[in-house]
Amino acid sequence: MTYSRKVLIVDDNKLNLTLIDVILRRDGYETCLVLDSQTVLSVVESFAPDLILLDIDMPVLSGLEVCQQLKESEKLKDIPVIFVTGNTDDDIIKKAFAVGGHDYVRKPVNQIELLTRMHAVNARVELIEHIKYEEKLKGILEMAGTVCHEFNQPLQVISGSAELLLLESADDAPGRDLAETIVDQALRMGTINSKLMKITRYEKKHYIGNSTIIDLEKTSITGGIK
Amino acid sequence: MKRVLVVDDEKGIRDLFRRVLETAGYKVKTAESGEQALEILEHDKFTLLLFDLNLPGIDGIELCKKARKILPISIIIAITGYASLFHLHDCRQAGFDDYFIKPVSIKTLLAEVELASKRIDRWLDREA
Repeated sequence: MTYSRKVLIVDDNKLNLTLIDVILRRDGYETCLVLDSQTVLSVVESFAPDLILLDIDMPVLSGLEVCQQLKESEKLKDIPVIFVTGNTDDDIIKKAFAVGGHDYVRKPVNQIELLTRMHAVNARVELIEHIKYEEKLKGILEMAGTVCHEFNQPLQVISGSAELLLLESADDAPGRDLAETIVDQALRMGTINSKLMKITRYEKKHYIGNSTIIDLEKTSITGGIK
Repeated sequence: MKRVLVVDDEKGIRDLFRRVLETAGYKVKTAESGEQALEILEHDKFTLLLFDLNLPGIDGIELCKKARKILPISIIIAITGYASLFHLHDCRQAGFDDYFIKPVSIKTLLAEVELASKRIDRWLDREA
């Protein structure tokens, strides 16, 4: 299991920040420290952390409010948040989970507890991502099967009829070249469909504008379309 | 004259294969379902059988198992629009001799049918 390497630490107390920073750096994490909770969103955009450690009791904007803002952002909502708090009242803990926190760590921070909870959250996030990936792949495979089945039937009639036309017509009959083109192109479409049948994983590639499409070159076990 | 049974739920495919095979000199019967094919097999003999896999009612794999019992000396080929590796494993177990993924070239199909006819001839000669 691989764990996230980039962690954003948010706390209005410099000493707390430094303490957590030392623990994480020793364990191989790349860190980014934020004292002012109002700047968190912009820092998250630029640093792109894999996980956020968020103090709850901060002036102006509390950790709970910051988390709420993160979860409202389509782009940032999937980044896991672990709250760090000295206040472990039932009400606070309930709110921490209600706003989308994955877990919490008590202050003063214990090194073993912090790292263990981070590992557990990362493992859970990876599992969820894996399940999402599998669901996506299942959908693609079902769609590929449907496309192959539904398209190959008419393709057979098109290519076969054109080929039959070629077999039954004289060598110098007009339109033979067009019939040959129909056969070639129909069989080419059949080759593309056969690549769809051999999709084994989900990989996409950039298409027009911001859209993406399935990369048949990378997803099919037989490689690219000839 | 060699007799061929074509089973496919798509009329366009049945008509195409019938015309191709009749042009090549084969006597062809068609069925649009597995059930209809089994009825035909009760009183007609065939040396070559072409089955679609995705059929309404009895599917192509079940049909192949039943047809294999009725006609042990015959060539049965699957011609399907879609087949995963699992389907192909099932095809092999059901007794299909070969398979094609649509669209199959008519030249390829005719060459395979010709080859199958020769294989069947060898078996029939030995029986005689």
